[in-house]
Amino acid sequence: MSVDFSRRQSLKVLAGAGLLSVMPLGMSSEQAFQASNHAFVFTKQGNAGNVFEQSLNESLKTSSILIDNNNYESILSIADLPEGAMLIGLVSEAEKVLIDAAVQDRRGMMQTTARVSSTISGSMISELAEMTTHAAITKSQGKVFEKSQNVEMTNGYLISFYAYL
Amino acid sequence: MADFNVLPDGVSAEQFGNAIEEYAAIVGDENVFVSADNLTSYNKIMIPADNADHAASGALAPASVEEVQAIIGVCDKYTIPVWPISTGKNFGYGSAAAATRGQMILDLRRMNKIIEVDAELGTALVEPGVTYQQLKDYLEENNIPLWLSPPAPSSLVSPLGNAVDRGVGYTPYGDNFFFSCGMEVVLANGEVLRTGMGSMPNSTSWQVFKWGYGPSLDGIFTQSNYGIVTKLGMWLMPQPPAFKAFVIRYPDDADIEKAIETIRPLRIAQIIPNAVVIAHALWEGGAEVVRSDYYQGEGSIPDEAVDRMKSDLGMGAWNIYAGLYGTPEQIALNWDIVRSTFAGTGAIIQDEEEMAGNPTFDYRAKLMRGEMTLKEFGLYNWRGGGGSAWFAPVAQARGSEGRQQMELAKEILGKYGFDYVAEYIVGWREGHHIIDLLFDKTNAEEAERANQCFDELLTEFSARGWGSYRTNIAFMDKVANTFGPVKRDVDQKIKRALDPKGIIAPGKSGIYI
Repeated sequence: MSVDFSRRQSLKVLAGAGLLSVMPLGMSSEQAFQASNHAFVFTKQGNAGNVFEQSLNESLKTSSILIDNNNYESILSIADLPEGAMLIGLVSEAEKVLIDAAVQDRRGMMQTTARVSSTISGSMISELAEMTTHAAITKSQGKVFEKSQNVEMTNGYLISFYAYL
Repeated sequence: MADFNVLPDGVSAEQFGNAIEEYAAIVGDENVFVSADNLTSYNKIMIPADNADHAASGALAPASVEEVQAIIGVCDKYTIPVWPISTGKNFGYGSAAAATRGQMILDLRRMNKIIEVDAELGTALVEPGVTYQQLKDYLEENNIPLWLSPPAPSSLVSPLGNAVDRGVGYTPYGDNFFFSCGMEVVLANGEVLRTGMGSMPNSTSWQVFKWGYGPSLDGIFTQSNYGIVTKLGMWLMPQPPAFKAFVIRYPDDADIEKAIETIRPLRIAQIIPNAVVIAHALWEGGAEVVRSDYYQGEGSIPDEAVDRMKSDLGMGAWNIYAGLYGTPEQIALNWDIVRSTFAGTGAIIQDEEEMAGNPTFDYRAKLMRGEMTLKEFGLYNWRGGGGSAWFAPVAQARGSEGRQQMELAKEILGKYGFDYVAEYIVGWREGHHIIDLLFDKTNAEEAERANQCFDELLTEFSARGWGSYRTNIAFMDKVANTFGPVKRDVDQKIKRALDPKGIIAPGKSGIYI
């Protein structure tokens, strides 16, 4: 599902999402699988974002929130996402700052997993999506994923992350 | 006994544990934060400083003035310092972190009531946790034709927080503290002071007359640590019958002199009544494109690359954004004055019709009519790496001084390999020269270089008499020193009188007991 909505519109779009169960941080693998029912993927429009989203959709059922340089407001929909939702994304620095701010307002947690060049290959994006998902679920089980912080330090412009509300 | 990450200076773990229990009795366990995970969000600073130097001991989230008073009582008992934040979005100045290590963050986000909006008088009374978006939504939902004047992070930030840090917006009410009227302040002894007319029981004029009787006190509670501001009165601008935004572009960096000289008389005469922005190309382009598209070498981006970007994006070296407000007849008259004033100066003037669909013009126009936009966050994509520190000296609204400041800033930034990403926000007679020192915070060497660069900018600008209007939490002592020993001594004497144990925000603006 691809959604491009304003903050006000998001209230309507997400009306159904609010009915989903709350996901505690210490959930089991089975619960983590169920949590994928309310996972949200944040990506930029364009090739890298498309590959990242498609890779995630192979393992998770996600709702997509597309962002572009003239539409940062869509990030504010985080205020209306259900408690316990898992967010995964591949975004720019500006978008990361805004997502982090919105997650903080929900008293959630956000963790970057990599900073990569915008010229990263499609296969690496797929690996990045898989690694980020693994890190998110590992975190949800109370374990520390050893590669969960800035594994690829380049002066790049795309940042992968996961977050929980 | 709990294992605490960072203890307040001079407080034992046992004492701190006791204090935490007392805080929890006031605000509830769920609003007391001491674990490392829960404190992470209060230590995400973008400035070139060591995060550990600004790590908090904990955070507290009260929901009422009475809870703030009770918290202050516990702080006084154990001598635990608290650092108040409104929404904690002081990006590039230290975000939600304190000036010194070991303070409790007093997170006022839960105090988010819009207490009153008077549509006829054009006033509002708000708590610290109210955001511009919240207030904007309230005005729209109640069909109240009043405008706000948010800073660029707009929807995310607090009008109270921005005003008490003396931030600026872009409408004719752009000087947000200037257009505030009346505060409620919790003092270090737990008393509640209302400034201006608010001290009088049953006063009807707290939000309409600033000065009250006797010394006017509001100013000492801005950029200070003399009390915790828990309510702020605001003046809101009536929506004008018409509004016209326009941009004036000059091709060369040296044209800043002409830009300021031409705009000044129009500002002082209030032909152009709003806080005018004169944005440099790297600020304009920085919010649109990324640096590596134009330059991937070492050092500052060269002029040749900036020229290519200007050409691609159709922008000037300097781009003046301003607005006209009033009736259509007033605007037509003033538009003629503006055009004739700039004619023959080498400028290109474009209005809303000509700029339709241009995203940069659109976000500037939104800010000038008090609307919310997050577009300017695009600046963080320019270099990447998440580092940002605002260097903010004040200049006279005089062309020669604007040019001198630009040249000095470019020289120092160039020495350290950074770009001149800057704008002037022209007030009535001065320009806030806002420079975003963008760097890669994930690169330790670059972060250290940015720290040294910021330090040299402060040193060299202050040596020429150019003081900063605001600074980040790592440089507050240094900026305080640039204003001389007598000012610092008076600041300290007031602090000792109002907060003898120094429990409110030690280090804010370089003020300690």
